[in-house]
Amino acid sequence: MRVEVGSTLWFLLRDRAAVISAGFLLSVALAAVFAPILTPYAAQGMGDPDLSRKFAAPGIEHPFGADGLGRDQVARLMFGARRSLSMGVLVVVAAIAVGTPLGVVAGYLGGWVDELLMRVTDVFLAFPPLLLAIAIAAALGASYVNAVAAIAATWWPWYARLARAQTLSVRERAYIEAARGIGVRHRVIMRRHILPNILTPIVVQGTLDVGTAILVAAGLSFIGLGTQAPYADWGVMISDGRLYFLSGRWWLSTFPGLAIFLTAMAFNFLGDGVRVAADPRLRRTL
Amino acid sequence: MTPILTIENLQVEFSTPFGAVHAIRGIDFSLARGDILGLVGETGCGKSVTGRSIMRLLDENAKVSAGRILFDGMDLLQLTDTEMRRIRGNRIAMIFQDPATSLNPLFTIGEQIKDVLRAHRGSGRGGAKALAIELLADVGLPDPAQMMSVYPHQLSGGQQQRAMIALSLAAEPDVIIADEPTTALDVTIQAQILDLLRRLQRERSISVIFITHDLGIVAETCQQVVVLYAGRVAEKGAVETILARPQHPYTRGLLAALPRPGSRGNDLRVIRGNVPSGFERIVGCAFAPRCDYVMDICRAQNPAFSVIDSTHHSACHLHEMPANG
Amino acid sequence: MTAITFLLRRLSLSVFVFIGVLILTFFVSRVIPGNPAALYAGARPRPEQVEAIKVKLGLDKPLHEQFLVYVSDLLDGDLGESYHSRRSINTDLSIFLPATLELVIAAVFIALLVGIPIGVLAGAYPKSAFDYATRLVAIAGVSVPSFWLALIAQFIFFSSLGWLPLGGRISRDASLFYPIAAQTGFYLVDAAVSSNWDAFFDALHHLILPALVLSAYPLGVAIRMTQASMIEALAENYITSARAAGLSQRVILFKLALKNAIMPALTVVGLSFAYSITGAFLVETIFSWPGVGKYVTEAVLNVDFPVIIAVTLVVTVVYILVNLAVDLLQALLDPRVRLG
Repeated sequence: MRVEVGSTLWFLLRDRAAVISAGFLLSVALAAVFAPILTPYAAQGMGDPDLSRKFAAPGIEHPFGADGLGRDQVARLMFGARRSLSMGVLVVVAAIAVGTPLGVVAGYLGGWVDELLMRVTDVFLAFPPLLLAIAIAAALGASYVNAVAAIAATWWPWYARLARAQTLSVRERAYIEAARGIGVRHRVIMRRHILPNILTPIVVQGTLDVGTAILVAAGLSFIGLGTQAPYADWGVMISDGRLYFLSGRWWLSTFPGLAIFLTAMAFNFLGDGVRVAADPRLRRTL
Repeated sequence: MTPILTIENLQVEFSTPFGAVHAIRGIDFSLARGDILGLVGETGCGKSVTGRSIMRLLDENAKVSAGRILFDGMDLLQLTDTEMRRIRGNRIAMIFQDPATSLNPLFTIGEQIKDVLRAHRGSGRGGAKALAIELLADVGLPDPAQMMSVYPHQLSGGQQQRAMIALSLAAEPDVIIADEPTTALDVTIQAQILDLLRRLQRERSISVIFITHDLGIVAETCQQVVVLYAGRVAEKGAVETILARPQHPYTRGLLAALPRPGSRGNDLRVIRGNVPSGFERIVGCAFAPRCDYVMDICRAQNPAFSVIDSTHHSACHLHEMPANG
Repeated sequence: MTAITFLLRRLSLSVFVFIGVLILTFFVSRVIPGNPAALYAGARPRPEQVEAIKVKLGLDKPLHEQFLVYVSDLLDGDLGESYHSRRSINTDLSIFLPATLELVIAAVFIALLVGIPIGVLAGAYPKSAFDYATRLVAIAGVSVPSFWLALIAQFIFFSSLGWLPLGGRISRDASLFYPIAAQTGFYLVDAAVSSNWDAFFDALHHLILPALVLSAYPLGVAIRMTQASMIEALAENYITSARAAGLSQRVILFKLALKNAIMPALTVVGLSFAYSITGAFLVETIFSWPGVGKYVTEAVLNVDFPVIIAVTLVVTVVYILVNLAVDLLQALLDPRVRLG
C-alpha cells in the first residue's frame, strides 16, 4: 500500500460516514481535553463522592444520572474519555514504536534475522487476542500503565509485519541501491531513507487501530486489570454499573457502553473510508 | 451478402473522478460472414473496449454514449440483459488473452464446458458429456475423455488456450471475438493456436474479430483489417492491399516498426511521441502531433474517410491533396 | 507444492509455534513478574508459602532449568494447582473448557451461518441499499463492547420480554429432574446422546443469549471478509469469461464466484473462534456461564496467577489446533494444492 496523501484526502471527503465520524471523534477528544472547564462537576469526574445525589436518575441537573457515590455521569464520562482514549492511543503508539524498527531491520537485512522475526510474530499471533494481554497484565499487576503495556506487548507484531512488508517494497528502489553503493552505513539508510518512506501507511493503519485498542483496553478495565479506583474509564464505569443494571439503575452502564460503541464505530467508519480512499482499486466502490 | 456484424459510430466513455475518458470516439466497420477481421492498434487505442462493447461486458463505469452494433438484424445495444445473455456464448463468443486466469481454477475443464452447454443447449447429462469430449478432441487436446476431469492448473499454457477455445465453441456461435488470444503464449505455441483457430473458423464457417497489436499475425490470419488510433479508425480494408499499399501515415509507421526477416534491430523505425490520453479533447486529426506529414488543416479538422478503392478507406487529409493522390 | 510437502510444512509450523507459545508463557509467568513466587502464592501470602512455591517451581534455579521444570510438568499433563481453591487446575479445566467450547462453537456457528450469505450478497450487489445496511451491521458488530451488549441483551430478553433465562448453563429444575449424564462435557451433545430432550431444550434455551452476544464480533468479521473475497472473486478474469459465455447471474454468483470466495472466507472460521473466545472471557461472568472465561475473571479478582497462565496456555493450544484444521481444510478444497 502506497498512500498518496492528497488524493486520499480528496476521496475521503466524499465519504459522508467518514466525515461525520471524524467530526464525532474530534468532539469526543475536545470534551476529554477540556473536561475540567466544560463540566461543573470536575471534582466528581476525578472520583470525589457526593452522597447526597446517590443514584440520581437522569434529569435536567444530571442528564445521564449519577452513580452509587453520587457522581455526575456526564463528568465521569468526560474524565473517563481521557483514560479510555489515551489508553487506545498509547497502546498503538507503543506498539508502533516497538514493531516498526523491528520490521524495518528484518525487512532490510533479510536472511535469518527476517526469518526469526516472522516466527516470533507467528508465536504472538497464535494467542487469541486479549488472552495474552490478560496474562501479561496479571503478571505485571493491575494498573492503567500496565494494561497499556500488556496490550501493546501483544499488538506490536502487526506493525512489525506491516513495516517489514513496506520495507521490502522500498528496499529495491534506486536511491536506496545508490546509497548502499556509495557505502552509506545500514543504520543510516534505514533511519534516513527507509523509515520516512514507510511511515505514512503505518501511521494510517495505527490511527484506524485506535478504535479496536479502545475496545480491548475497556475489556481489560472491565475485568479489573486496567484503570483503578478512584479513577474510571468507560470500561470501569460499565463494570461499576453492572450490578445495578437490571434493578432499575440502567443509566449507569448504558451511557459508558454507548460511548465505547460510538467511538469504536466512528474509528471503523473512518478507517473504512481511509482504506478505500487510499486504494485506487477500491475507489470505484465509492 | 449483408455483413453479420456492423458497428456504426460507436462511442464509449469511462467516467473517472478526474473527468470522462473517451476510449472510443466514433468508429465504423463491418464484419462479413466467414471473414477474419483484424482489429489492430497500439495499447490504449480502443481495440479491447470495442470487443467488450460488442459483448456488452464493459466495466460499470463505462458507457456507450452513441452508436449502434447491428448483429443479425438486431441492435445489440438495445437488447435487455436477458436477451443479451442469450447472445453471449451462444451466438457471439469470446476468447481472452490470458487462458490461465480466464479459466476457473476450482472447476474441471469438463464442468466448465458443461456449464456453457447447460446455459444454451439445456442438454441432458449424457449428451452434454459426449459433446464436451468431442469438442476437446476437436481443439486437439490429447486424451479428451480424461481431460474432462482435469483442472486448469494441470494444463500447459497452450493446452489451456485450447480448452478456452473449446469453451467458446461449445454453443456453436456465429461470431468469435478473439482478444489477443496468443499474446500470453510462447512463439511456437502461438503458431499452433493460430493454425487451430484458422482451421476451426474454416470448418465451422465462423466469423472472427481478431484483436491484436501484431500486424504480422494480421498478415497471416486475417482477410480484413481495421487500424484503430486513439479511439478512431485510421484505415480499413482488405489485408493484402493495406499491407502492400498503406495510405495512412499511422499504418505506414506501424508497418515500418515491424521487424522483417533480414532487418537488423536499428533498422526498425519507431513512431515518435505517444498516443493521446482519453482525457484530451481532440481537435483535428488525432495523429497530427506524431505525423511526419502534418499540415495546418490536420490540426483544425478531423479528416473524413477517403475511398482509396471499393474495399480500402483511409482517414487522412493527404488523400485530399491532388498532388499527393 | 504437493499436498504432502504442504502438510509437512504446515505441521512443522504448528509445532514451532507451539514451542514458541511455551517459551512465551514461561517468560510471562517467571520473568515478567517481580517476584513470581509471591504471585504464585496468591494474595497476601505468608513467607513460608512463598518459600514452598519457590522450591516447588524450582524458582531458585537458573532460568533454563526452570524452563525444563516448566515443560516437564506440562508434558506430565500437570497444569498446577489453583492458589485460591487448592484444586487441581486439570480437574477444573476438564469441567470449564467444554462449557466454553460449547458456547464458542455455537457463536461461531451463528456468525458463519448468518455472515457468509450476507457477505456474498453484499459483495455481489455493491452500492445497493443492502450493501450499505450490511456495512452498518458489520461495523456495529466489530464496534460493540461485548460485555455491554450482554447487559443490554439481558435487559431486553430477560427483564423486559422474559423470553430467555438470565444466565447459567441449565436451570436448577432441569438439573434436578433431568440430570445430564456427563460424557463429553458438552451439555447439548450429552443430553442428545442420552435422548434427554427436556435437559437438551433447557440447555439450548440457556445457550441462545450468550451465543448471540458472542457472535456479534465474529459476525461483523465474517460479513466483511466474505464480502471482500466475493468482490475480489467477481473481479477475476474467469468471471468475465463466464459472463462472455452467457452463464446466468445465478450460476455465476452462487456456483462460480462463491466457490472461489469461500476459500479465503474459511479463514474467518479461525478468526471467529478467536474472537468468540475473547468475548467469552468478558461475558461469561455476566451470564454466570461456568466456563474458562468466568474461571479466569475470578482468578484475576483473586490474584490466582497459576490459573491465568494455565488457561492462557490451554486455550491457545486449542486455537492453534483450530487454525491448523482450517488450513488443512482449505488445502483439501483447493485442487491446486490437493493435486499439486
